Amino acid sequence: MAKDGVSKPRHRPRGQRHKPEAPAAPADEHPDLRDDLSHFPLASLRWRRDEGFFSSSQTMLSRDRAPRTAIVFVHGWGGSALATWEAFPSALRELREAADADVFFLDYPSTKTSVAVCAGEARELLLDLLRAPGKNLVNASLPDGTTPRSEGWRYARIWLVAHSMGAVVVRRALLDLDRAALGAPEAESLRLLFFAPAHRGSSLPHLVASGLGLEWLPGASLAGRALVTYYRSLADLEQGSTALNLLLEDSKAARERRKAARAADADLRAIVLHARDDKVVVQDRFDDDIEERPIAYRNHRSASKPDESYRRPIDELRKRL
Amino acid sequence: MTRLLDCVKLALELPGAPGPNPLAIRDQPAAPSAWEINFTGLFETPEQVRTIGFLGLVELAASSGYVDLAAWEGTPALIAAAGSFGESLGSARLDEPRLLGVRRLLARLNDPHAARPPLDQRAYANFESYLGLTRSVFDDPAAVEALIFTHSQWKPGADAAALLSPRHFAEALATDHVGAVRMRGFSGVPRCLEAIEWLVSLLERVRDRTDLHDVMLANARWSHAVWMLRERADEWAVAMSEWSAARDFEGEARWVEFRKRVFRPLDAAQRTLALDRSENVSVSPGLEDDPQVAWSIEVPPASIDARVAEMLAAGRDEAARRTLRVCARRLSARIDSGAPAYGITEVERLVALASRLAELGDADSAAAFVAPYLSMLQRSYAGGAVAAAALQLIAQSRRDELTQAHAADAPAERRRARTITRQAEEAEPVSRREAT
Repeated sequence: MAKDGVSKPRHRPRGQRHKPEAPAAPADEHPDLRDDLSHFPLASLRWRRDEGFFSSSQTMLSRDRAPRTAIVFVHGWGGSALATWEAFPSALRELREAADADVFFLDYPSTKTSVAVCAGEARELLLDLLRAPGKNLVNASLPDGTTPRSEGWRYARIWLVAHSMGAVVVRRALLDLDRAALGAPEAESLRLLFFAPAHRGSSLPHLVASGLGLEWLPGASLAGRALVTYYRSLADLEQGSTALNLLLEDSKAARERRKAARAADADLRAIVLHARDDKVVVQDRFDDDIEERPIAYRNHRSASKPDESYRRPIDELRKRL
Repeated sequence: MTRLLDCVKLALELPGAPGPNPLAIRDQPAAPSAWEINFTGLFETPEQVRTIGFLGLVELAASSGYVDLAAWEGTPALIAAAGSFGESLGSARLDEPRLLGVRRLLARLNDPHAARPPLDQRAYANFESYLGLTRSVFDDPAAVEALIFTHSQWKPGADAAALLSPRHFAEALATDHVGAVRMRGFSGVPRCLEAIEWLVSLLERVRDRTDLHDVMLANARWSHAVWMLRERADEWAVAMSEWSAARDFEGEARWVEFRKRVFRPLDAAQRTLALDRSENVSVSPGLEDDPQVAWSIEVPPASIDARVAEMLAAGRDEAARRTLRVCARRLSARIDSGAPAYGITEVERLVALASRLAELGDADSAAAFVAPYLSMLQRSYAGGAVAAAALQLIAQSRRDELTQAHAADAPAERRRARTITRQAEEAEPVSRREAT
């Protein structure tokens, strides 16, 4: 049993270390790309069914022709694909465990759109990630001349790593997928890792101050309080909001259904890391989540930003890959 | 190479043969462009600015191992074009600090034995992140406008209308207006602060590779003369710190920490490489390498009543309180010095200042200033008005203390009240001196 309390799918004999396949392309297909790296350069994500919602998203695709894992990063309110997760591309390149993982950094209009709409779009993208990753997500994003992934290839594991509002969006999307009859193997492939999630609500003035980059300034929360009126999407993130109450109810109901059916529910229970100095989000436990030890010396914004001295986010992901 | 161009919103045309226009670099449709930020004393035309920026980016990409120029099909044309460009500038101009990347690229292209550098994963990933940062700046019209405005038309006080109160600030940030007046280059400032924080972290990661560090510093043109942005943001910080009657010491400390962690190293590095010249001459960088934030104003005692009245008329209650505290603190220091010139008259003046402070709502600070001199006042003015005024201030503070203690549940609140008072009298480390 893995440390997160759920079982990992067995795709190879116990004890055999997985090695990534040889680099995907012969040297003459990518003369100007390094073939001694496990991933292609960070590039724009070209989702075939995007209607302008995730258009600034980025992806770092594995050179492995059939990677087992996808890691999807979802930023929070006011964040962005690369600014929020800035150090992760570099860190993941150095992780042996991530060599056969495709990485996606989603970018979406978090400040202008309700949680429901964000979740609706995320749901569609996740469906393609589960059922048609090659055709609808990966092949158009690969460097020119790269052998496309096969139609039948699927991810064995999909990690959804989210910060703040991103956790709410991801949860909502998964619960909606669950109600739309997600298959059991598909549900079992999903895992959640959340940093400073806002799924129990947040202090809106502090959320706005943090999301708009004002937190270094005095009077930030006063500014945040005044700014709340300009961002209608925030209503969903307030403690006790209809959206969050519904999220909790639906999560409990979904877990009850799984329990009755004796089915796994790891995709409904997130691994959560809160920051000790976080003044933004309510840190009460959501449903049956797994609460890891809080992160010391970090606040809401910096919890998801590893650096040379702060490796916890990388380590938490690494030990689960 | 496409990604490099896309990040900085440029389109590249390399000719098949050498000609009068060896390297044509055009803007992709995007206005305003980050290439339009002007820095004083520079010679470049807009076309030259773009070419310098692009060639510097190519050098950074090559030295990070991100691109392999030996394998790129456009390299022969690039060699010819870059060579022609370098000749057109001349060797004197090529020595300009901002052209560091161009110089290095020319040397690289002209070295027939230049090999693909061995993989340095950190350098590769760092450059990849730098591309992302560059892209995010170029993609953000508000941030670009903020930088252009900072280095062209901003001067102290330009943002004052948006800093009057949280409400004004919010309106300006969300709508670019206060009332019907457009606040040019305002809303993008917070994103600029984020961007330079990101840049500083990238530079820190390659601190031991000066080839990458210095070229990145030179190439990040949008960040040059960062001291100007610091001046502007300092105004924001001081104004925002006055919004609340209960002083936001924590917020002030956060700003001081940000300046130390982000502005200071970047400013120092830019000065070293002479990348600190802004076209905006309305503000001078000053003599200090690392000026502190002037949270308060020091006013000559003779002017203080008038100055406080002005502040109150403008609604700046907290600024008025701080000014009174600074003056009272200075006066206390002179009295405590024991110099014969300072005696009972100064104590009387102190009581007057403290009374004004109490009228403006800070009874605790007022009491803290006069309490040490109560015995002196009672001896000198037994039953007199001055001593009575001092006693009244102390009594008022005590009553407020008791009121708070009853109203609040926990001893922590009483401790906090005392802490605020102590901090108020101790924490004026720097103040601006106003001209008499």
